[in-house]
Amino acid sequence: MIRDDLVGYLVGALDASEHDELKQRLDSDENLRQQLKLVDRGLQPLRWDAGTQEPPADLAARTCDLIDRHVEDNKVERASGGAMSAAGREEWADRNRNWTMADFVVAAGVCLAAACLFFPALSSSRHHQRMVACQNKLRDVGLALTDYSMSDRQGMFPVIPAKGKMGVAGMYAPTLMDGGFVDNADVFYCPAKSNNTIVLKIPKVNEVLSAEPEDLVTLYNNMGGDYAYNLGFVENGKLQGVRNRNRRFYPILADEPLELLADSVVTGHGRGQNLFFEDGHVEFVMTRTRPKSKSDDLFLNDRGLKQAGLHANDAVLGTSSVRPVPVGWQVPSSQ
Amino acid sequence: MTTTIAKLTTSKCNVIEQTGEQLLLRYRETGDRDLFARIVQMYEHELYNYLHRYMGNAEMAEDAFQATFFQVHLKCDQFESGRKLRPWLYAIATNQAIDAQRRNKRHRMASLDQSNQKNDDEMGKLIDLLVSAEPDPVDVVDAGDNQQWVRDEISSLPDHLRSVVGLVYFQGLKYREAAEALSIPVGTVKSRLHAAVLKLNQAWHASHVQRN
Repeated sequence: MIRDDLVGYLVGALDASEHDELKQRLDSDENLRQQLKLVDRGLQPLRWDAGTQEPPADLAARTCDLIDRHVEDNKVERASGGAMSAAGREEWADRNRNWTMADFVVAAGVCLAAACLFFPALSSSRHHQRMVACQNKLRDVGLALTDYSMSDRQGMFPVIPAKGKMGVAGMYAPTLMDGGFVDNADVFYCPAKSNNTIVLKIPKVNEVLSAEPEDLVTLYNNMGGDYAYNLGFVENGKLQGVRNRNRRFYPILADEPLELLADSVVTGHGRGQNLFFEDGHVEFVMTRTRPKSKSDDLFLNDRGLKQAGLHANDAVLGTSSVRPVPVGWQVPSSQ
Repeated sequence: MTTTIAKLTTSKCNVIEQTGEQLLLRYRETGDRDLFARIVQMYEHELYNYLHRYMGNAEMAEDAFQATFFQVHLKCDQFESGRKLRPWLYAIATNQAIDAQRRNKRHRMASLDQSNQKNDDEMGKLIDLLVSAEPDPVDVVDAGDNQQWVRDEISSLPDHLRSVVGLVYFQGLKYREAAEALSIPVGTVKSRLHAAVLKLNQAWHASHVQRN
């Protein structure tokens, strides 16, 4: 976008070719020169902070000392490790020769007890690792959505159309990919999901628009990755998208629910789901009620349907293939 | 290593003409500590400044600086010849700063869009904001207070905007280099810098123009 390039032009962040191209345009376009002047004024606050901090005089020396100590410690460890293993080999062999059956039984018992203690902890640790990895990916996708909203003139997140081939929740992923807000489709897949070894391709928007009806089902099921996206809400008979208002507990994205229970959902992490909120924080929530709300269901609207909310505060997150409004829903012509 | 640094002043003529990339590649091959010390010296000022501004704290900036070069030493095998060293260094430094903030639990849950809380209804754009007839920042604000004000505002920006401002505006990286350092698309760097400048201007209008 030209306004971003004007900032880059003034701060010297453009590549030489981009810089020259913009300079030529500026030479011939009075309106663009006026815009450049305004952007230049906008940079004024940053220019107030022209000072630099002098690093402490010995910082470089202390840093190099740190590396030296590390290298020396490694040398000592390697040297002493080799000597000990050489000296210990005979002693270990002598001990082995004196082992009795009772010794083996006791050793096996100890190993079994250790395994009982260790494996649940290991499993829990892996679960935790996957949870953190998923939260990081969800945050990455959420930040891309935020970037999208910041680049949108109205501050809107990707708006799901009421009709047409892009009218499903999963449209947010191709939209982000096509807009250059996400580089790597891998972020759309949760590491805790069982099918995460198969990384599916996020289609281009054009691929969706030109897909045959029989191919759309597969596309719809997969194009939103492993996350559920906010379906928007219906107001004055119109399907509305979500504007970024930086609300602390308004959810934009969540782990895809695999099964709806009475008061919660099952996701790749078991009961509960990670949520990305409009203000950019990620939180794991056990129930399916929106935090800080009385009873707003995260995955159903106030009528108990997997459809867009019935008002601006009725947040509903839909999995990839969910339509915010039913097929054939009529947009009132008077609106 | 103090001796190494001292030695450098005498042997400087041997290495001073080399680029950071060349020094790192030679250090990787030879393990020569003088070469490493030279790299540290070469990037000391700019990396320390980046970290100081990013973390807003001299002590944490020092720790992150040391951790950055420790990682450079450990990971120098992963540096690909033909790549630029600066974006690679800044990528490591940014990761170290983030880790340090998490460890110290001083990391604020900065909202992604704090100043929008003051201006919820319209995201606005920089040019739209500035095209209004309000007076120029230079004309209104007392120069003595400006530096502290802008530092406070920058430190209150969310991490993802603060890092872009630090890299592109203050450290002078190209958009492409900042994108490489932060592992994000170039377009995202551009829009984040624009968003950061917009926020600073919104904050300035809220705190100075309206008050005046």
